[in-house]
Amino acid sequence: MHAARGAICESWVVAETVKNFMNRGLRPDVCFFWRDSAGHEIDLLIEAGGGRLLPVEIKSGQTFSSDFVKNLNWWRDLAGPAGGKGAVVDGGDKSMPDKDDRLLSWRGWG
Amino acid sequence: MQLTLEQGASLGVGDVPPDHADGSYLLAVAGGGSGGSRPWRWGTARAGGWARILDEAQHVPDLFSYIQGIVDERDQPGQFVLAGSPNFLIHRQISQSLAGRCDILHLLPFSRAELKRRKLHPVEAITDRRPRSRENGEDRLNDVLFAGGHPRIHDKKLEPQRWLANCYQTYIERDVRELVNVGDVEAFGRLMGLCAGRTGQLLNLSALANDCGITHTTARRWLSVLETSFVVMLLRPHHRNFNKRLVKSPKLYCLDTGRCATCCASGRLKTWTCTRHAGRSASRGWWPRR
Repeated sequence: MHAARGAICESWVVAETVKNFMNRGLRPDVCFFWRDSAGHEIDLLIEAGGGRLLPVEIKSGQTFSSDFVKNLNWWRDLAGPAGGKGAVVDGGDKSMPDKDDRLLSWRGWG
Repeated sequence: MQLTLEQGASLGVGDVPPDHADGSYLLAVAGGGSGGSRPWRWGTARAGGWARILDEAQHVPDLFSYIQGIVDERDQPGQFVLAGSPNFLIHRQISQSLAGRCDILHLLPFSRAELKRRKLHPVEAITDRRPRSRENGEDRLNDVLFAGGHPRIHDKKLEPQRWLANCYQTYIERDVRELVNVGDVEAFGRLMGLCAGRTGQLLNLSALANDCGITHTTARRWLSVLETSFVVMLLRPHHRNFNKRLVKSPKLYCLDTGRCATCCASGRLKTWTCTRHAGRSASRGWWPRR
């Protein structure tokens, strides 16, 4: 696998998000990322109504790992009431049964 | 009065959202450096009658004051649908006569949902907990990434890498030349290549300017041109810090993955403008095609 594949996958997910907002006539300015100086990161953070923040973790791999939701859980603990349930979007072909967060295949996102 | 564009035959979007119902004209702006190549599949635009549709309207800036006159005289929404490149919005003469009289719809390269004629709302995709309908399509992620979303590639089933190289060449030569000093066109292409190689990274304007051999100020200005044309986007960091120290720079994203793949695969990030032939080596594949 090419080294850039992860970054390109991530770009695809972000771009699809922006396009889907725009195609519904909505401004994509509700999309953010979140990163602290220690390197903790949420790839995509979507501001939903009522000040809720929905975190999205983007993974280019095809095999779901429970580590993927660890990061989201860590962030939700930090964010408290502002942190909503989010999603993991991965490069696999099938979505998994949801846990707290939705576990979506890229097919379910774009 | 409502402007409706017939389902499916519309702006490649499916429908005109209600927010766009009351401008005197609808301005559809094709982004992502797609030039004039988007196959406009206009349906019948109905506005209690019919609308006039003008494609590539940015080439005739004088037209806009005439349209302004007509619109001001007969105040009826949906009289005109104007399509063209985002330079619309930069052009002063145009933006003045547009002010307060139009709705703007930005058309980015196709999304996958659009190609599948589905509507997707990102927030609903997360919050809707009903059992999912079967996820559609047999397409493969690598192929989707490679192809990107430019309409012509999907419409005419073109080989993405070769076509994209030409497409961006045209974008630079036609759309950008007006905005950038002619002597700098090559450097502009270089900047595009560098951006593709840095997709998903925090924006470091000084490093970008250095690698490109341009000044910090120029890099900032050109980046905003790329942003206006939807070639790149800047994803901003969220400000809620939750008692942590946060990163303040935005992240740079290339909006079309086909172009990223072309640039990265060519292995010649610095000579984007001369990579016409590099598409061929890319088409042999740099990811194993499964």
